[in-house]
Amino acid sequence: MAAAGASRLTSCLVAAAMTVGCVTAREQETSPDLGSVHAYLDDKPTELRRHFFIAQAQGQRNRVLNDMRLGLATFALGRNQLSEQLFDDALQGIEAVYADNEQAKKARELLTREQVKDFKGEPYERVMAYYYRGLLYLRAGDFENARASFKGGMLQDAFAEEQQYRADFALMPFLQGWAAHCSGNASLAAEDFKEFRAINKDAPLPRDKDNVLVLVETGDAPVKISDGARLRIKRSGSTETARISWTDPDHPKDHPEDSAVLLEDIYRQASTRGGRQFDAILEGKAEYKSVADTVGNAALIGAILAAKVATESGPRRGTKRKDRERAEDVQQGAAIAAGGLALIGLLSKLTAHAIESEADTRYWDNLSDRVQGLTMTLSDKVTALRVEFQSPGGTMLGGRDIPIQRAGRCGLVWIKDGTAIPRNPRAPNSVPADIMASPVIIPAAPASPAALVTASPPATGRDSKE
Amino acid sequence: MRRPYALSVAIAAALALAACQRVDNTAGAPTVYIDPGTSGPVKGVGIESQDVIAMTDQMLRDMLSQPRLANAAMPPNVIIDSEYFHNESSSRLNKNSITDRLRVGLNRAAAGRMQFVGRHYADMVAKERDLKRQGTVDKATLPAAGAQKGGDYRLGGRITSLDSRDPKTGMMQRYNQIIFEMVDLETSEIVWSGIYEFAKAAQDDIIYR
Repeated sequence: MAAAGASRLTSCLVAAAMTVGCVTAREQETSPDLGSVHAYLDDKPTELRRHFFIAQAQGQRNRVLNDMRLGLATFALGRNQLSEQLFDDALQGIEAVYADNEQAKKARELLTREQVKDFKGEPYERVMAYYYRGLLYLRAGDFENARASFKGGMLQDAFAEEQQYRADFALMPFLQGWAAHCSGNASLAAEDFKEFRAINKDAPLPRDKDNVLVLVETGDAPVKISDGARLRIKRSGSTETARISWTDPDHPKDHPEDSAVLLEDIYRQASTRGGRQFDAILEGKAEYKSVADTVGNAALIGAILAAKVATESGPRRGTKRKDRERAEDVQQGAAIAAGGLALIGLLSKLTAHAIESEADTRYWDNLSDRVQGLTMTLSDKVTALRVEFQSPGGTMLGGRDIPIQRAGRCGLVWIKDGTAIPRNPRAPNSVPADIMASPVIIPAAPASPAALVTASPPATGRDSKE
Repeated sequence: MRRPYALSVAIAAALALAACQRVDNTAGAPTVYIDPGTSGPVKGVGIESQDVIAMTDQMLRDMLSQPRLANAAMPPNVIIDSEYFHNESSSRLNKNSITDRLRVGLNRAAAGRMQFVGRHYADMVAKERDLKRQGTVDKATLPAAGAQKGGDYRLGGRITSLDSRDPKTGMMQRYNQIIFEMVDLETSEIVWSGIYEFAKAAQDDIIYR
């Protein structure tokens, strides 16, 4: 009897264990072909090789996410061509319309988590991909495509739940106007700046003679968390300000300086989007999960009660045979009921466990929290600016000299406070927790045993400040 | 009594496992040639290859039916490039893909009724002329020209778009308008105009809304 009980318990535990960690194949990392992966990594920046390797291993599902992270990292390193390729690929993924798509259909299923879908990002992330692509066009002096890119970004911000937050990404019309200004199209620039002014009433507009745009990014990326079936956004950044100074060789004794003003609060954009339409589906899943769980609990309690009746000691000696038989019938019935209820309870609990109602929390982690900026009129002889960061209390946090990248009639100065290289080659929540914690090792190339072997400890922290 | 119980546990485990067996076993798609004049498997609401082909074909036919351009007593010198062809739309694109196709198509179809000036090669030509005149290279076989060809007409134009979104349904729509104009380079008279317009609408899956 004891052996039978142990056997039943074991079967139950095995069944339960089998359902734990139900992860789809799409969420796993693959092992890319070593020959081709080494050829692919050959021309990649050394500090980003593990990131590119992971991007290859994670494939299509995280393609846009990895493109965004690596696009920004290579943008910060000045690897413009590589960054252009990555952002073009990301925008291709964002702009592709998913209609009648098999993976999209799967993500809506009851037993599949939202994470299995191809990542396209939330609107604020999509807008920022257009933003960096636009900046790359500005760096190249292609002002028309820069404007098209910023305009495309603004369109991604059109789906907020509340009217007041729709298409309110002020940074985009500002940059559209700047790009039009740089391409010499004053009427178009005026139209764009009018749109900007309708959203941001404080920031100064560029003057006609301005020829340098300074963009300063501060703070850390907004963090996504799953609050049950709802996606929530948390601010993780601080509030540094930036002072800009320079030296004009024609006036070496002067020490002009200026302050960057807030052009966009990315966290605000991320958090004011409101509910997603897909949240309603996740809430439906969560409700179903809760009902299944309650049914499971009730059935298991019923099973325990029935089992108690079934295992109660039989009628005492001396009772009539008829009573004894009736009691045995009751016990047998209770045993069958206990078995049935236990099965229903188990199945309900398994179903509840298998229903995936958590929101997708993958996010672009090397983004910034705010974008500050200003436009200036500087002679061609001024080749660099000094940008100094200050805490809200006025404490100096450090500074850097940044070259002015001139193309066509305009120049661009871009700086991010802190590093743009993600500490963890894997984006947050991009793979199941056990894989997230595993070290990233690039196996040696098959032809050359002395090829690069790099390992890193599992890292879950955020970008460190420089 | 034990057998049905074991069976039910096995069924439960199998059901639970069935939820996990979501292997992405897509066989993949081998490389195939796609007719650039038709809508491919990846679609958006921007300007795509079939739009470039349709618009340049239409403009080409229209331009060849314009007597001042295609039936002048003296074949006019025409410059067709993207220098004055502006993109004010929300589509990022390489304008050369439109103007290059237009120039190549016109050049082949015009059969000498128009002469095409490669202004985008002016720098290359100037360098070679300098080398010849300096005696660094010989004079080649063609007779020397006093100067590079000037243009009688030059292509101008503009790409614009109007975008709209429906936040309730996630439907997005883009109206694209592309205008082409041939401008007299002495008088700035517009001797020919063409317009190509189309609108596209699409709705993304709810998982992205």
